[in-house]
Amino acid sequence: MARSSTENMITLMSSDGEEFMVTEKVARECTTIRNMLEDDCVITNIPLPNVTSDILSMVIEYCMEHVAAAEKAAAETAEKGSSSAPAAAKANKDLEEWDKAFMNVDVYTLCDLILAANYLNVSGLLDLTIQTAANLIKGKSPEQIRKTFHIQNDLSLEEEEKIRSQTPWAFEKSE
Amino acid sequence: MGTMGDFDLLPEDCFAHVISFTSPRHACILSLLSSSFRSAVDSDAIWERFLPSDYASLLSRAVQPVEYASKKELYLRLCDHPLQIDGGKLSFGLEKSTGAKCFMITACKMNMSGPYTQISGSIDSKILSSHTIYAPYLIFKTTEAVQLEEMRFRLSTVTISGLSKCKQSVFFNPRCNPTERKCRLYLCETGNHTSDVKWPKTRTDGWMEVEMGKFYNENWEDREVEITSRVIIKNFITAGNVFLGIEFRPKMAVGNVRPWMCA
Repeated sequence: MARSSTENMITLMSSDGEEFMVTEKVARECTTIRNMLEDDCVITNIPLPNVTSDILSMVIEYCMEHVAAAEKAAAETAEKGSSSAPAAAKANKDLEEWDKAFMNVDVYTLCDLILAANYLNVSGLLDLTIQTAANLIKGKSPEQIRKTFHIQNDLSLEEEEKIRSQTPWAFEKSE
Repeated sequence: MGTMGDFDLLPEDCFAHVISFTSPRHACILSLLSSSFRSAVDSDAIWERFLPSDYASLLSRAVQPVEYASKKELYLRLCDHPLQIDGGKLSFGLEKSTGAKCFMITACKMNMSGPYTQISGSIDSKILSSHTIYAPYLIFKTTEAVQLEEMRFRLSTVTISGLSKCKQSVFFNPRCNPTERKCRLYLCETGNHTSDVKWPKTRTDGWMEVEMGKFYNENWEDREVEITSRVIIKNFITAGNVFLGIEFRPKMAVGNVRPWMCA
């Protein structure tokens, strides 16, 4: 396919000065960049002062995987005239598995990814990271959450009691 | 493993976004972690997401105006003290752990025919939370000097736009319970199992309730869909029972509209 050679390339620059060459299609996965490109179509070099190189490389990896999956699905649809349901379901499942493996990161990285996904406005990545963060909290008692994440409790016993008495139902063991 | 202190550093809308993917229960648990978590979790940005999207329009229908200092206060108030709306014909509250909407129809239709009373209550499906399984409950009280209806179950029905969706065998006699030998014998004779029948239960507020079936409230979009719960009871009123209304409460949330409800 000659497409890749004719496609516009965009250079994204991380806060620590590293440059990443990506296709315009991949860059457009970030709504923030898409808006910049639509405002000024000759732009080829975009500085991203809020994103470090290791986080930016992960965001790009995510965007490339999702663009590739979408292209593959589109190509299959074009070939067969219509997409076959089992194949589409398998592709979706594969992408879900990929996302799951991609989310195997520590809490620091996860928070940085949430910030980057929010800043670059990559809705799929934002939902994925937010859901992952929410899952870390779900089903745990306050003690477990504190222990897992080494949170210093600076509340007095009286304050704790006050919080518990405000919503006693939330602290009953029902889940 | 890092420290979750990082979550404190997320911008407020991101943090609220994370919490909104958990549940009101988890938000309360998080407020116990530290003082910074407490102030972050108590923010209006978070509780706004747990309130139903049409809460403002429901508040505007209240019989008495509702005053609240924060969205969390409003949420908790609606959980503990349902709000009278539409001139008192309906009351609106929230199921606390999920924030799904609950409604009690206090203006039910009652048709008497001899010793039989037909009670029915209808509700517009749009007012209920979508993608949620609801059950209607008949709420009543039995006075001391009551002549109880004979030990028999009745068939209650749920219809959606007039089409029958669910039939449920229901006991209304408060003395009927699964440990009562007479009840078990009667069920055996009629070829039923104790789990096929719904039994009256005493609520924390002193009223009694019976589950009268269940239905799935999907997202009906623009269609006008009316849900009706109906039952015919013998000697219900004449026997001195006091009837409060039919309450629609969520049993379980399905689907993906409000993610925390799936937990």
